[in-house]
Amino acid sequence: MIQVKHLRKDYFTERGRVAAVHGVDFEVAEGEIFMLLGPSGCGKTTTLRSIAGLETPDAGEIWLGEQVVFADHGKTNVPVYQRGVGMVFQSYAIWPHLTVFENVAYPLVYGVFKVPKSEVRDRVDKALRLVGMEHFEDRPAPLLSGGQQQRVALARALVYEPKVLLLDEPLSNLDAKLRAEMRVEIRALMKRLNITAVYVTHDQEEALVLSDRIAVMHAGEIRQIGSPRDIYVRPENDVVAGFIGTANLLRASISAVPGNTQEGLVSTPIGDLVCSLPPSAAVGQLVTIMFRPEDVLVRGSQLSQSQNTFSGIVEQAVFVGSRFQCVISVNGLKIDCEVPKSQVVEPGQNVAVEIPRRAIHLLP
Amino acid sequence: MQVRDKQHRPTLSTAALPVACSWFALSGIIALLAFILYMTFVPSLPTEPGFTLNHWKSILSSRLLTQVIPNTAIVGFGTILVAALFALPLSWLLNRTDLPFRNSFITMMGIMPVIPGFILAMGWIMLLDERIGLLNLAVAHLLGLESLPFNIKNNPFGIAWVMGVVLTPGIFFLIAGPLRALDPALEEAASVAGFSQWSTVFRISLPLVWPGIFGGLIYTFMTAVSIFEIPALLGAASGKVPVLASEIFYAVRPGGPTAATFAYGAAGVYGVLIAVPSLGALYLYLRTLARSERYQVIKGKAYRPREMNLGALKWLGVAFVVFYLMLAVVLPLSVLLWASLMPVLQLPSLEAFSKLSLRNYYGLLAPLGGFPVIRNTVTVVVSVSLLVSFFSFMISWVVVRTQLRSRKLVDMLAMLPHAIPGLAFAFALAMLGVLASVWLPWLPLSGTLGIIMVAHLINRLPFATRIMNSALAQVHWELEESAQVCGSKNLTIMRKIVLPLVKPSFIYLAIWTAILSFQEVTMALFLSGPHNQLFSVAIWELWDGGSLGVASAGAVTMVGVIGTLMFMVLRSTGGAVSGAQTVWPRLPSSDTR
Repeated sequence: MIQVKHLRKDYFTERGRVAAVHGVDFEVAEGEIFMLLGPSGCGKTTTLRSIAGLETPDAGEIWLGEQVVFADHGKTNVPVYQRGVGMVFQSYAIWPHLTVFENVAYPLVYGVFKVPKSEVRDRVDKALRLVGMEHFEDRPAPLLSGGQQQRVALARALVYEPKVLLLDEPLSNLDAKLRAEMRVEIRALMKRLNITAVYVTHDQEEALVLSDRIAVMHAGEIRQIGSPRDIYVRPENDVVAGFIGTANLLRASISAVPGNTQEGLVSTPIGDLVCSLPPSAAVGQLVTIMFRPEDVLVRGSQLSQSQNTFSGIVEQAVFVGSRFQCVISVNGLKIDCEVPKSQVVEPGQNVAVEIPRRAIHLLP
Repeated sequence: MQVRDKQHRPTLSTAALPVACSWFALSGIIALLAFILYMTFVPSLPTEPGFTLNHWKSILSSRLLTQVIPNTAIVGFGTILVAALFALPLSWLLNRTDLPFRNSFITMMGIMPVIPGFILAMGWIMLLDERIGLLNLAVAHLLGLESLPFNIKNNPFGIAWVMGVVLTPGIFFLIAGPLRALDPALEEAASVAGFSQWSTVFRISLPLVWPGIFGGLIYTFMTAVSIFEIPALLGAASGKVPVLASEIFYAVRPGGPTAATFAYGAAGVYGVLIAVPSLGALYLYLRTLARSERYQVIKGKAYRPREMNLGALKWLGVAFVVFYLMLAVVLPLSVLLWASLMPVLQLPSLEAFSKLSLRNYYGLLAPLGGFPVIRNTVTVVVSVSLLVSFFSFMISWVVVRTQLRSRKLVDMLAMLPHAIPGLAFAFALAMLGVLASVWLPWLPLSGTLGIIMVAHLINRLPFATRIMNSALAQVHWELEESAQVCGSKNLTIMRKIVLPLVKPSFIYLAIWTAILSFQEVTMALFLSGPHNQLFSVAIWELWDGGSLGVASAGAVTMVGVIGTLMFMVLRSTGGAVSGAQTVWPRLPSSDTR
């Protein structure tokens, strides 16, 4: 439904030419929710705005359905108002001089999505009902709460039934609880309407909950594309591993290559670890290993006989409600761990730390 | 986030119409300026061939060196002296002390520029004329003097006095900004170090705001030397106190006793002689501003300025403010009102009161020029107001809303007429009119309302774009982008989204422009012909012809109309203070971005 090929965009600043996006490629299938995730300044918003036509890229191609909307360095460049996309902005961009009804009706009254007058009311009512705002039609926009404005913005973007919906950090101005509710609601709505969506966020939790696929962006490039589970469980590089969730990253060298058991040995600053190695692994090769805090097992002081177990000292234990978040020093290195709330941990306590073989993931 | 806001702006392709409109207006300004320069090298009219340097050589003429330039200098420096003597205490009293009625006083300072300078000058002549001056007569009477003590006419110091009083609010608002922004911590530190309140003012506050004061003085100087109307009434028209501005005027419109022939090239030279120092002063002012920013004292951050407790002295302060307002507004306007009700100007007495009548008002329309003058005035005022609103909106849209690299240039060019006297533009337009009548006889230009409208448009553009810039900057760009995504083209977006959102600023701007166009006399007079007389020009000519009573009645009527319009401005903004500050000179670095 959406194809972005070799997209490039530079900016001119006081310090000269800065590449905001260099060489971004992806495709979004019909009905898919595609997430552009990354820290601020990574080029995700520029990419989204290029799809909308609000930004003119320097190079690359953009296809919406069967239509090429940008190509040949701008020789083909369909103007914004003809691209037929819906967009929800970070500031909501609800026009403050209009009522809720007038805001949502705007695309149907002015411009290329014009419909006969008699249809306007039905279409607006339908869109407002989708987002649960049907009782606020006559309310002037400035009298809406943030969450309500968000819903109106969504209704306005959906009212002309666009092929594609673009969302630019739509939830970042809401409070935490409302944000959590809206995530679930937006996903349900988009799935019900079978809308193709590109969604920009810097909030990894939002990305995991909402999307079908995630592209993690960093410094103008896509570092990995995959399902939320893939991205979380099998990050392809340290940037992705570090950005999604919390990750323990250790430099390691391979010290023994498996025969046919698939179990190799790597040596790390905290000690030797048994883990699965790819067939291509060779002794002496330098790698980075990654494991998640919630996969680490922390036990009382007695050392068990199981694999990959080290003794450590609890340096920090923060109770966050559902669990403890701990920092445990193992051979002088700090490891992030999570401990169930039923288990009591205190700073200074001696513990045994087990890193299960299956939790260890190798990064190139 | 700041960086992002700047990067993500609408792209070039969407801005064709506003860009075209902006460059249409701005290229007109550039062309007129180039034309003035060109005129200085042409022997007579540009329709006739030839090249000459004689006009430039004429700078060395004795008249210019011994009369015009010294007079201009006296007027310029005298004006800033008088204005500073009023403005410095006023701005400190009204901005940094607990003076009673401060806000009302500031509002009054803010609406001062709408009272036409030539009307105030007329009032001052009636007060201090060497023969009929009422204040003169009253003082002589009280002190039992044989001769009248003051003479304001035919005297460069008299011109400086009136202009100083009229231009005081300009310096006032230029200094008010830095004074209010002064970090109170610096002054508190001085108090802690054992300085008294008064020595803190002189040793700490004054030196810190000195760059702002200096800038204001330079600025007022360049305004003073480019004003024509006040010197003309007070002695330049009679040829006794010629200044540069009046030289331009009478070189192209002989009528004064000195110049009997047209001297177009010379007028161009005089125009350049005013414009170059003005541009220099503008540059200096901008540099002073930039340097004052380096002090890091004057920041955009909203400090609450420390207010000095005046104690019992506060009534002395109030007396000073009232004294200034009496001199600047009340006295000259009351004498005009008095004169308009009298058959012959005389001191108030029982006998005089018995002669009070509205006769000067009953027959006012006929001597002003009848209905056509009213029609002309309304046409010009309304059209200028609409044109200025339209072009300033287009220019500001380009400056604030696009990422074109030329947008800074556009902003600067829109400020240009601010540094160049209106008379210079009027001169260039008049010359174009002469050319058009020779080369393009089908294009009426000379002596039309249109030529006055263009002059007013150029003259008002700098202020208007300042107001529009800040109005548009307050409309979040996503509000426009979301309309684009919703399928609207630029024109629809401007009509349906942007215009309604900046409507209050628009109304405010339109009324202000209307007032200032209504009271403008210099350019309108310069470009006047038999068929494009305006109200202000008619008053001027009545005065010139010696009908003081009728001219006064006209002036009072004009002030009345302006007062009504001003009331609308106050209603539309909910207070004049903010408005006054946007109408008084603000230069590019101090606002927009």
